[in-house]
Formats: sequence, structure tokens, C-alpha cells
Amino acid sequence: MEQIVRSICRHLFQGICVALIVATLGFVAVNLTRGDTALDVAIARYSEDLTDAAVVEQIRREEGLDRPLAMQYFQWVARVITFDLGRSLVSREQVTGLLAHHFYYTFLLAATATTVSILIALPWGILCGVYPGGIVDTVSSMICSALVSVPQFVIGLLLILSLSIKLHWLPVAGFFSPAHLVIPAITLGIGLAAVSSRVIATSLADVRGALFYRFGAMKGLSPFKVLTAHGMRNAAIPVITYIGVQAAHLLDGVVVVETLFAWPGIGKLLLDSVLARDIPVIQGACLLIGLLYVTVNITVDMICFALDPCRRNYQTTS
Amino acid sequence: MILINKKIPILLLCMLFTLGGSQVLASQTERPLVIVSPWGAKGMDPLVSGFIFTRMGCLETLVTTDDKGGLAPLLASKWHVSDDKLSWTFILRDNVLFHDSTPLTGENTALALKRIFARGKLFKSSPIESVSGSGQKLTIKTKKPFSALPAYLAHSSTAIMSPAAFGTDAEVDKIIGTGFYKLADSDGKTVFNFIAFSDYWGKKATIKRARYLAVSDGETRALMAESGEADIALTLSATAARRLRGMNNIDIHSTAIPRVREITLNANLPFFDTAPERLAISLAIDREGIANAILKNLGTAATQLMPAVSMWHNPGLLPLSHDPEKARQLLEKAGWEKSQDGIYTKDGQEFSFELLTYSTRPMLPVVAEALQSQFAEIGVKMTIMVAKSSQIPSKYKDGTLEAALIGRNFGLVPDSIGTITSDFGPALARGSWGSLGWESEKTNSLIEQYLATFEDQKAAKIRTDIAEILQHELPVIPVSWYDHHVTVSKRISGAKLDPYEIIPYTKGVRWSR
Repeated sequence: MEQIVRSICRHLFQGICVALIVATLGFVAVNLTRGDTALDVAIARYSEDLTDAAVVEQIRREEGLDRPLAMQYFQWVARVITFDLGRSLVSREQVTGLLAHHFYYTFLLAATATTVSILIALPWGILCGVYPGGIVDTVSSMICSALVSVPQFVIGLLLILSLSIKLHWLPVAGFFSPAHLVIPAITLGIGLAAVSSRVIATSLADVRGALFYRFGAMKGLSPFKVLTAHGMRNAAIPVITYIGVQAAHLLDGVVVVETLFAWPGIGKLLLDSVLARDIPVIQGACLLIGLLYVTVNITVDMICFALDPCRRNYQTTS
Repeated sequence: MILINKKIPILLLCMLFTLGGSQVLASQTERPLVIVSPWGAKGMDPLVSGFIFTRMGCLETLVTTDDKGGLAPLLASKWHVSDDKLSWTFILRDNVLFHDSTPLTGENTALALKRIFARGKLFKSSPIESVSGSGQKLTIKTKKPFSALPAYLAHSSTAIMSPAAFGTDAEVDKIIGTGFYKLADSDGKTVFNFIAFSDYWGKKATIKRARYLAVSDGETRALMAESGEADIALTLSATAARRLRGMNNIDIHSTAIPRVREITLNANLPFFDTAPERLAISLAIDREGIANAILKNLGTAATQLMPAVSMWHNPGLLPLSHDPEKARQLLEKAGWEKSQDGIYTKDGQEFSFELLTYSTRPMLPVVAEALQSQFAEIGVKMTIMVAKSSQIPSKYKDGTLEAALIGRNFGLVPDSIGTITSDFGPALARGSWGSLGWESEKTNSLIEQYLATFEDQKAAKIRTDIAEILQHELPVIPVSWYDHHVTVSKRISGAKLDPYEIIPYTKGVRWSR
């Protein structure tokens, strides 16, 4: 238990450092790029038609963009310590509220897409892993390569054309009901499932070649029992690590899918904020994404710790 | 085990009945009228997001437009200006209630307008002096004659809200207007749900619920129209409109709007400092070719700056034409000589410039490429730089802008005088999007006269004169006009789209079956 707590603390410390570094890099990158922050904010807030030099100067003054960059940065750090991420320069909304709103939808989509990918990948990968090199494995390998190489927006458009336009089963875009979640989640889930299934198949094939697996069969256990008791558990560790990385990737936003399905996730928010140079939102989103990666890493570590006796024993003895 | 096996089909049946029941319930509940647009809200303040609330029929302005773009009364039933032209009186409609049942009076209208005049960017250089109200009368005083005031009061940012809509520091707390729809709920960004307001002063909404949804991707909006999810889908590409035109469940409305694709030039540069050189550039442009091949509508080829929907359009002007030979002659007359590589040169300097444009208006970079090849044909070298739109005012400000291809909106308010002043008026009134380095005393004087003119005929004459100057001097070079493609589902009827985008999309709309 002590090892777990120590591991969590280490990850948390690393996470906070990483998040702060990422947010700082975001601030530096936005200010290093050519252009005027006040001007970009004015255009995003009032449109090109109502933006002129007077409006830009007013925004510069009101938002404190005329202060030295170092002062702006340290004021932000001082606010972050008190859990205040400030207000959006464009909409004047609290950044925490904005991030919470968008993160809710991102989490919903990421969780559903991961579930879809697991539901597809698990039986598919096990089937291929049990008969490696067989016809099923060979065909599935080709299908996976094809699915991975097809861009997500193509999969999304094909699903819209078939399920929404032709069959009228599901809505095209929006976020008003669970039905709106289905096509975006499948769009993301299919690609993830293709890769996950290969990871599962390879991992399972490796485990099936291990001594302990063959010993299980030799001592008289049924093939199903050996697979479920010894194979699945041991094959799960690389799979869970991989799914964790995928989930973290989904949580930091999938802009193409969010744009295509008008899904109000964090990726679209970040993209719009970068285009509008909305620095408080960019920094807040960077912080959040940094922390999310750490949370996912901790969760994956805990699951692996619970599943893998070698890891437990190693940490206990060390 | 047997028990479990028996339970499974029963459970499945229950699920099917539940799903079926929910489908029946869903079909019995009236669906909302769904309007899909590319623009989300930048906050709940009508000063920045007023277009959503006015175009959904939730907030109303004092003045609106009629079908032809002329001014029409809305919350103000009539208005007049004093003899000295410095005091405007607006008579407010009787029996108008805000959504919180507060009556519309001169006092609370004045309160709302004071905030708008102080914070609204539309009025930043207008000569408003004071606003006061009493009973059903509202008085606005100006420092100098300002004939365009009623047109400015048709802009969405001037929508009138109840005093209860504002919290501390006059920040907007909630949306409380006078329109036929009232805001039910929203996420403050992309989705806004409205319900019919039963105490509306005019013709009430026949569809009980309406929804505004911001969908930034044009192809998704087109697909939503095609699937029947969107009753009205706004701002589709010409290609999408063409694809959907043959469908039997939707109609395509294509309306010309007062927005222009134009080349803004820096007249301080030796290439553009004289009118003949600017005319040569204009003559090199095959506008009909661009309109036909790229914009898929021959009617969008600009023959002058303002399209026919604008009151500033002058039908008497000689149309801008395509004549590469004449363009070459003009350049040679201006002292430019062709070098060995076919590019015009004068005093050792090539006729070569950079055209800055941006991709948030998707057709601009494509049109820029067409222009590049058309200019190359006459011996003018142009490089294209696609950047963020903010680069244009930034370079304009420091004087390094050479040329820019922009989409300029002359329909911000029904009378384009504000944009005309900002783009072609006196140096002090200039914005950051119009001509750079070009100034005309005559234009400045005409603009001043126009703002002080209250007679329609005299104002029309001034508009004609200004349009003539712009056509001859070409401080900016018009390339094409915009048209706005909108799909309207055949499920609804009564939808009308006005070129100035002021009349609510939802006005007079009803289910057709």
C-alpha cells in the first residue's frame, strides 16, 4: 500500500510540473508567433467588420495586454495557485467554467469511444490471438491496416451517409440525446479497435507461447480455462497500457471528429482559442490536458499493479 | 439456468417495447424548428452575440428592414428629427411587454441604449451625445447631424432588453427581450432553445419551440439539411447548394448580400499610386470566369463595388470589364516596360507585389490563385500569402500591406455609410480594412454632406456621386459579390431571407404539413 501511495505522489508531482511546463510553453509559443494578441481577440470577439485600431487599443488596455509579458505570466501563475484560471479574453467567461463544459463532452465521447473500441477489439483480438497466423488473423490484419489508414473524417462521413441520410436511424450532428453520441463514438472507436485488436492478438499469442501457459494445459486444465485463468490476465497488461494511452489521446481532444459532428469538446475549444490567441483558455486547457495524462497514467499503473504479481513483488522487495 | 434463459427473451421484449414507446412519445411531442448556422455565441451579451437573439426573434431593435432593405418600424412605431437635425424622437409601440412582463417604456429603453452607446463598438465614432426617455417617447441627441442613426438602430447589437437583464456593472445576467420567442435554455455557446412568447405584441409564433445550433463545418450543415435534421441551414458553399438543389425535401434560397470580395491596395506603392495603374489591374481580372468557374454563379461577378441589393448600387455606372490588352496599354502608358522574363518593370523595379488573404472565408485563397494567373497573363507578378485575417489590419497599421483580398461587409447596417466612411473617408475616421494611402477631398466632403442630409433624393444623389468616384478611382478593386445559400426544409413554409440579415429567420414560419 505504501508503494502505491508513493507512486501516486510521485506521479502527481510529475503531473503538476508537466502541466505547468506545458502551460508555460503554450504562453511562450502564442506570444512568440507573429501577430498582435489584442487584434486577434478583437476580431474573435467583435468580428472583422467591427474591428479597428481604437477597438484593439481598448482591448489591449482592458485586458492588461499592454503589460510586460513576464508580468502577465507571473500574474497568471499567482492566480493558478489560488485555483483561479482567469477569464476568456474573447467571451469573458470564467476559464474553469468553459473547461468544465467542454471537458464533460470530451469525457463522454472519449469514454464511449473507448468502450466501443474495447467491445469490438476484445473478441476480435482474442480470436486472432488464439489462432495466430490463421486465416482469421491474416484477414483481420489486412482489415486493421485498412481501417487505421482511413482518415477519421472519411469513416465519419460514411457512417453519416449510411446511418443518417439513407437509413434515418441516427442524427448527423449535435449533442442533445444519447443517439447523438453513437456515430462520433463509432467513428473514433473503429480506428482504435483496429489497433487494440492487434495489440491483444500479439499479446495473447506471446502469452500462449509462455511456459506457464503450456504448463497449465499440461496439468489438465481445459483450453478455455487456461485461456481465461492464465492467458487473459497476463495478456491484459500491455493491452491496458495501450488503451490508457489511447484514452489520454482522446481526452486531449479530437478536433476533426468534434468539428464534423459539432461536438463541443476540448479539442475544438483549444483550436478556436489558439486561433483567437485566447491565452488564459490556452493555458488552462494545457494545464488540464497535462493533469489528465497524469491521471490516466496513475489509473493504468494501478490496474497493472493489481493484475501483475511480478510488479507487486518487485515493488515490495525493492 | 433455465430461469435465466427464460428471462432473456422477456427482457429483450421489454426493451423493445420501451424503445418503441419512447419513439411514439417522441413523435407526439412537437419537434422544435431547428436553425443551423456557422456562428456560435461569443458570450451572452447582445453587444457581441446579438445576431443570434435578433435573428431567432427573441430580441428586437427599435428599427428593422422591410423585404427590400428599406427601414421599417419595429419597437419604435415612428421617428422624426428636430429642425436643427440634432435631436431624434422615437415613439415606442404601446402594449409591448418584455419576457419578464415589464412594459417597454422610454425610460427602460433609454437605460438599455445608454449601455449600448457606451459599450457598443458600432457607435464608437458616431456623434451620439445623450439619450433619455419618458412614457412612450425616446429622445436621442447628437453632437452633429447624423442621418444614418435609424439605420444604425437596426443593428443586432442595439436590441433592447429589460432592466432585469442586467446585473452588477451592467453585465448581462439573462436574455430578456420583447420578441415572439423567449430564451428557454442554452449552453451559452452553440445551442439556444427558445419557446413561443404568449404575450407578444405582434403576430405570435405558430411553432412552439425553436432551436439555434451552431455547426462550424459547412459540409455537416449540408448533411443536416439533407437528413431533415435542420429546417433552415445557413451559409452553405456554392458546391453544397448545387448538390442539394435537386433534392425533393428541401428548397435552396440563394440571396445576394452586400458583402464584396475586393482587393485592398496600398496606393503608396509605385504600382498602385495612380488610377490608370489600378484600372490596369482591374482590367486584368476576368470576373465572369471567376464567378462561373469558382463561385458557380455568374451573377456574382462584380460590375462595381456595391451589389444590386445595396442602396449604394449605381445602375448608371459603366461596368468593370475584362480587357487584358487595354490593361497592358495602360501600364505602358504609365511608364512600365516589359522585361525579358515578361514582367513589367519601371526604374529597375518589377511590378511584383504580395497579396495577403485568409482561409476563414474558404473561397478567398482559391480566388487569389485565379487572380495570380490572370495578372501573370498581363505581365504582373503576384505572390499569395495566406495568413490569419488579423494580419491584414496589423500590416495596414504599420503601412507594410501591399495588397489584400478580403470579404468586406457593406451590410452591417442597412445604410453602408459607416463602412464607406471607415474605408474611404477622412484619414482620422479610417478603419483597417479599406484603401490604404488613397484619399479624396471630394469623397470626404460628400460623406460629410451625406451624414447631414435628411432628404431621400439628395442622399441618393450623393450616393451616386460617391459610387462614381469609387468606380473611376478604384481605391479598392471589386472582384465578386457574395451570395448567401440557405436550405429551407419543405416541412416548413413562410421562411424569408433578407439580404441584410436583419429580419428573423423564424418570422412567419409554420409547419407546412
